[in-house]
Amino acid sequence: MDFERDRILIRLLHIADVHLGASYAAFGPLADSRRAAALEAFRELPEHAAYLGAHAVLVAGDLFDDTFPTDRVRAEAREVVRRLASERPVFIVPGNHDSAPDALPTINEAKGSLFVLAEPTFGAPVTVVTDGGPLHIYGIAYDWARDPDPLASFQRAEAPGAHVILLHGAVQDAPHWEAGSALRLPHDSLARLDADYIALGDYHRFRPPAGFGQDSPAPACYPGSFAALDYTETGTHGFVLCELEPEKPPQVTLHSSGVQAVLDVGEVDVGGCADDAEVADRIADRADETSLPTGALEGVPDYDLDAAAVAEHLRARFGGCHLVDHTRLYDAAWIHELADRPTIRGHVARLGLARAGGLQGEERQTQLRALRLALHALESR
Amino acid sequence: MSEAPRFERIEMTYGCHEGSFEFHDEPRPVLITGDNGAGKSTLAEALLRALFGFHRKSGAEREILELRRPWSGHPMRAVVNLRAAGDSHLIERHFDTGEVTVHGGEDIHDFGVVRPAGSSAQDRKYRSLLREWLGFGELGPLTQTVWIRQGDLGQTRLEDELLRIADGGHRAVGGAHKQLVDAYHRLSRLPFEPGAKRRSKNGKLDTVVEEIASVEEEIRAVRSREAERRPLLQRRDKLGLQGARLGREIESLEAALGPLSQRDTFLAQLRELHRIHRQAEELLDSIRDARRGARTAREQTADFAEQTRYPDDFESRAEALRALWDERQHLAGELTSVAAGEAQPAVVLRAEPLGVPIPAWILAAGFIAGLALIPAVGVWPGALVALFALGGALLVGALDRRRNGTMASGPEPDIYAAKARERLAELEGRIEEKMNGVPDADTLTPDTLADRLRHHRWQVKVTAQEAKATARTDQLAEEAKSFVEGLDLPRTLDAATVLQRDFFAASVGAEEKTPNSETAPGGTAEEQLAECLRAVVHQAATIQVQLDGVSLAGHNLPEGVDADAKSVERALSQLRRTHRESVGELTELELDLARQRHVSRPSLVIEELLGRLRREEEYHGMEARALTAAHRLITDAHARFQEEDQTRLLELISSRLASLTEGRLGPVESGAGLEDAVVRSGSRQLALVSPPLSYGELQSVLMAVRLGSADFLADLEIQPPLLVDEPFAHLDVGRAEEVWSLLCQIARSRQVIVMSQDRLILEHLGASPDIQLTARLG
Repeated sequence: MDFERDRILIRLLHIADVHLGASYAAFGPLADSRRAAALEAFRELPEHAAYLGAHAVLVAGDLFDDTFPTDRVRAEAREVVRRLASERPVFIVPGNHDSAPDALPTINEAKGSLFVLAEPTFGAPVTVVTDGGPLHIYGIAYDWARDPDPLASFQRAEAPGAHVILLHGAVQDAPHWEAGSALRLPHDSLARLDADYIALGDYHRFRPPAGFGQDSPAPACYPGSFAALDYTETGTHGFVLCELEPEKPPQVTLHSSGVQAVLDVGEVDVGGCADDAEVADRIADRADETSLPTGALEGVPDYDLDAAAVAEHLRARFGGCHLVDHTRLYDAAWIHELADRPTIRGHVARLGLARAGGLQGEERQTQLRALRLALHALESR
Repeated sequence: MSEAPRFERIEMTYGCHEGSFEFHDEPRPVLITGDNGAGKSTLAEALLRALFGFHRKSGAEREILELRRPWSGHPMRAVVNLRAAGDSHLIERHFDTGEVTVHGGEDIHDFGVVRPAGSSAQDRKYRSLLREWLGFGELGPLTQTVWIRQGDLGQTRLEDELLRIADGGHRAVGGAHKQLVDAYHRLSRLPFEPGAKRRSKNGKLDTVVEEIASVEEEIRAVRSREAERRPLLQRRDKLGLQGARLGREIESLEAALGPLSQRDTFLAQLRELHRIHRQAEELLDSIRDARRGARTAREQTADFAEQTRYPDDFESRAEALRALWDERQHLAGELTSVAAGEAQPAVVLRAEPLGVPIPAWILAAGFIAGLALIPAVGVWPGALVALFALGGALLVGALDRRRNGTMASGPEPDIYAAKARERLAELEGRIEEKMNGVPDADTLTPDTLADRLRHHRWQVKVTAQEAKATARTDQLAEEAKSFVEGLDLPRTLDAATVLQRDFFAASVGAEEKTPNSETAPGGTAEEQLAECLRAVVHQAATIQVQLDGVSLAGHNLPEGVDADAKSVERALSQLRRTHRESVGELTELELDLARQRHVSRPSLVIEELLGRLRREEEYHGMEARALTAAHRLITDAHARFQEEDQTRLLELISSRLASLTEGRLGPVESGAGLEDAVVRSGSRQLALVSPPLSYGELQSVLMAVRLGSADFLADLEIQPPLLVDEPFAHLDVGRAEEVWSLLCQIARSRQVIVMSQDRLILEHLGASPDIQLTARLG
């Protein structure tokens, strides 16, 4: 870092993967309210930027969920970006969801100090002078056909100030790494980029600079998605405030967008629970009232556990939840006791266990699921 | 396992009863006692009739209904609290109207008039509700199994009807099947099993499969379009790569151009300085040559500096003198001859050209001028002037001829001598005049004239040479001044440039070191030029230092491009032209591609969506397979269960009989059907009648049949409360104890309501009544 002034501090509000217009279908009945909450949180971004004293805003791709967002979504985005850009420079690169050139021009209507970096190759940076000092932003819109290896074109300009790269791409261990059409960001390539901060987008989980490897550390950061798009995106989601000071690594802080987070309660042992309500209580003890719990039911149930009924209890309390049933029904004493009975349920239990016993893998899981469904059907006749 | 249903409370206006009764939920029988006519059986009946009502089309049922009209005269009704299927339900029935209302939690369902054997939707729905709670929708099967009314025990028959009743219990299987099929069809519209009907409404799986098909179609369309566009895309890719390469090369050349231009500028400046230096040197040499020439000339003129210099017109004077000397000599000789009389005077004295006097020439010229004026001033004025001049000329000529004719005719010798002397004197005067200022004029004679002329010419030549040298020196000095004034050279030097002075030291040479004390013309110019040369050398050294500082390291020039600015500029020009053409073609191509592009999502997004849909399809598919497997599981389990029904029923009856008789009777065995059943007593097989059984044994066997049937239903998870009216009738104390013990055992898992008037037996058993009824008078 070569800042000339002694006490320069540049604050960058770094955001990515807002996915405006996303369906949030994974949340089922909560989808509509969640979409509304995400939009409301996005509208508050200018206030966050002002409160945190951000000198610039970086949007690292996938602002929209679709190449062709609806008019409503476009209007909302334009208004928020206009408000942001009226106070500070805003830099945007496209992502893989809004990669076509038809989406971002709508943002351009916001004008002001808005910079949409749409070239496939690095060139001279866009330089702005902020209250924190000179800021040079380099960004590309990845286009394999035009430049399959855009990182090679990066050259740091000889100018004092903070040099920041804005990219949308997948690091080596991120999900899109295997996708042929995504920009791949090998760790060593990232480490070679001579920049003070690399603002990334695409990976939906927060990853601070410390998460980019000890062998080839890079001052890079993924802020994660703005709001969890499904139950796999657990933990806090929102935006990052990056503080850049001379001769110091970037300091990043993750701020919540305010949209209800998904909380991973981990594996919950259902052993000892007498009914579904007790299992739900056990999960609720680990959850936060403001979050949506997700987790896996483990162990050997002492009763005919109904994961759907447990989920229903949790939905009544938290608004939504996601459970995976990994309980070992076939180990449960009660089902073996049931199988000893001369009742029709006993016959079902006996026959079901026998059928599952000779199978492996998915077929075994299907038979165990069938046994559970059959017992439930007989129970709730 | 679900909890067995049980009665919690009844409030009724039914027969002799008008009030309410609570039933405990402890794992022991609910004991209702009272004397004969106290209404024990009526209470038990009211519990079931409140739920199932009366079949009014049956005369026997109508008769019972009439018998149960409240003695108080109030409307006949009953409200039963029943706990079943995990909830409490309140069933209110108005027997007069047949209306039924069900309260479950906060839900109230008014069924209106419900008929026990009716076929309306409400009737069916209510019966379905009863089946859900108790396992039966009708009262009949209960009267043959769990409702053991006083006196009915003797009517009990072990027959296949019990198995048919059990089939009613198997309806749970039907309900489970239906539930699974419904769940399956929420996923899929496909037939659940071969031969079943296909649903018209899509399930989740169908929707997902359709979405997958749509997305796959979209992907195919995108790929098809991409296949069509492939040549364009390939060309675009090629152009893109070429553009990127050209851009990099242009950037590289542009980066190299700066230093190269700077270097070329320095080299050009150095060449210019060389030229200036050379020019200054040449100028300096010329000045010095001129100065040497001037010095030589000055040295030669110094030789005759003390002599009188010949006048500049000495050459013309010599000619004139030669003519004057010749005429004087001739005139002197003629004068001598005339004086001696040896000759006539000649006309040699005439000095007019062609013998025509000068005025005549002037007038002749006037004549010509007059003629020349004619075109300008007109004929007459011109002619007048010409004639006037011609006349004057002719007149002057005539007068002169007359005068000369006089002389030619021979002048007088004295006159001639006088005129000759006069002429001689004139000649002498003119000779003297010509001799004036000529050095050594006294010795100047026609004989010495040639020497004098050579001397004069040498003097003239040397003087001219000196003047020329002086002028050349002055001119060069002016040129040097202008040259120096035209230059703009810095006079400052740095330490580094001093080191570079040797670069030009040889060319400047010793001349530069020559002291400039000489004051010859141009000396100042020489000094200026020398100073200029020094400045040039210093400037060149400065530039050389800068030139050495220009680095071309890191600038890799493409092959075929020389490391000079012009070559690079030529290459840049070529590259830029190619780049412009490439960009132009790329732009056209992009426009073509944009025109061909349809509204489509990025392929990555489509692939993500497809992946998600396939995971959903997999999940729903697995659930559908599990539902199918569950259905088959219940079907198979049910088939096995049914295969064992008769055996199991007999085992259950035998088990109860063994309990009731402490093993003295049993087991019960059958042949082809239950109607042929016999009970083993020791080694004997006895028909289920009395005799051969004693009356007490028959009572025990029939009780065992009832209880075994209830157990059999319980295996089907049909466990309505067991209502036993006067179970101890006709039993001795020992058997009564066995029956009570058995009922207590059964009461641990289901509700058992026992009605008995036998106080002695109850006291013997130590059983306290939970509800004590007293006889009322109607």
